[in-house]
Amino acid sequence: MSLSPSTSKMLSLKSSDGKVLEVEEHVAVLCETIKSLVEDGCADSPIPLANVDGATLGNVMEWCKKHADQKASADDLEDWDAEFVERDQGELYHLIMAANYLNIKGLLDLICQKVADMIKGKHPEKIREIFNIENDFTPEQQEQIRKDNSWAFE
Amino acid sequence: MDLQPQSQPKPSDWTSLGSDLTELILSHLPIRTLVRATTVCKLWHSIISTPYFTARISTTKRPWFFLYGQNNVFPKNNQAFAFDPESNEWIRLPTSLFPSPYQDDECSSFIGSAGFFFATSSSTAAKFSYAPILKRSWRETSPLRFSRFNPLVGVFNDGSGLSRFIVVGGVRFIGGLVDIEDRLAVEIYNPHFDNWELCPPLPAGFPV
Repeated sequence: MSLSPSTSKMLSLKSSDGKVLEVEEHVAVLCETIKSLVEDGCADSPIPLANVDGATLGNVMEWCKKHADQKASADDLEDWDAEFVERDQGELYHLIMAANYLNIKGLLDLICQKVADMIKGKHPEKIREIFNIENDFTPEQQEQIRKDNSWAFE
Repeated sequence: MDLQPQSQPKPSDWTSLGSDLTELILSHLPIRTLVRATTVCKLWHSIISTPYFTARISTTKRPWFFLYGQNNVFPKNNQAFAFDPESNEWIRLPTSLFPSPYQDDECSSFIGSAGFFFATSSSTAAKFSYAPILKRSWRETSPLRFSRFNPLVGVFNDGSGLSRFIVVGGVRFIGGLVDIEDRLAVEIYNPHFDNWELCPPLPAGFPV
């Protein structure tokens, strides 16, 4: 283990499926949810994270570790993030849920942008297909919306 | 202690994302995709149509660049284009997008700025109308203090959730007689009282 100036204290986090992950405190506190537990002195280990499975927790902490690294330059982080989001839809979905639950704004914005990029320029039918969303409009309602905003559908 | 466990959603069921997170994702979309996305399902339509969402988009989106080509002989041949820097594309806007009293009026101008469309007319009264790009409901304000053609329009949020518009330049009167000082007039629209407030004019000698 590297000896950083503030001799790294370790926190253990317990995922919904019972896996325990040891993480340096300065990394884990990128999660606002964990940070407030630490500040309130409630971070008795292991901290149970009932909404995050082990695999997702591992991914989240990987992101936190990179972003807690003071030596990483902005360009470096950008490249790293671009690679980090190259994942299948299932993983992205779980990352959004976890980033929201653990309150990590940077990660949440990153994944939301990635998902938005998957939608960008796509037609509604294709979007429904990607996200498995049911079309609950009647054909008439749909036609009306299209007509009102015809410029966007050309 | 436990961090409020919630029931575990089914794997990658995007419809269980909830409206807050769905809204967050949608707010990252360029405007054209956003408008198309209103037809995906009723939930998306209702999220995108809220005034709150429209206001949020207006402050975070990069502004469109507008071109409005007027045909001096046949107003029906006028053309409007917008450049969306986010999606890096030109979008042709049908002139039917603009309110009909302005369409055939050769003294009217169309402007787009910060998530809004604007229409001005300088023919009879100093008319001014606006509509959020995402919600095509035009509202006519009380008349401008000065009749203007193709002015510059800026938008800012006054913190109350309503947008204020700053209008500069383009002052003209019928017959073309304009007092030099009037040309420098700057007006700000106050949506709370539906009136135009005059603020300090542009510096003397400013070429408008």
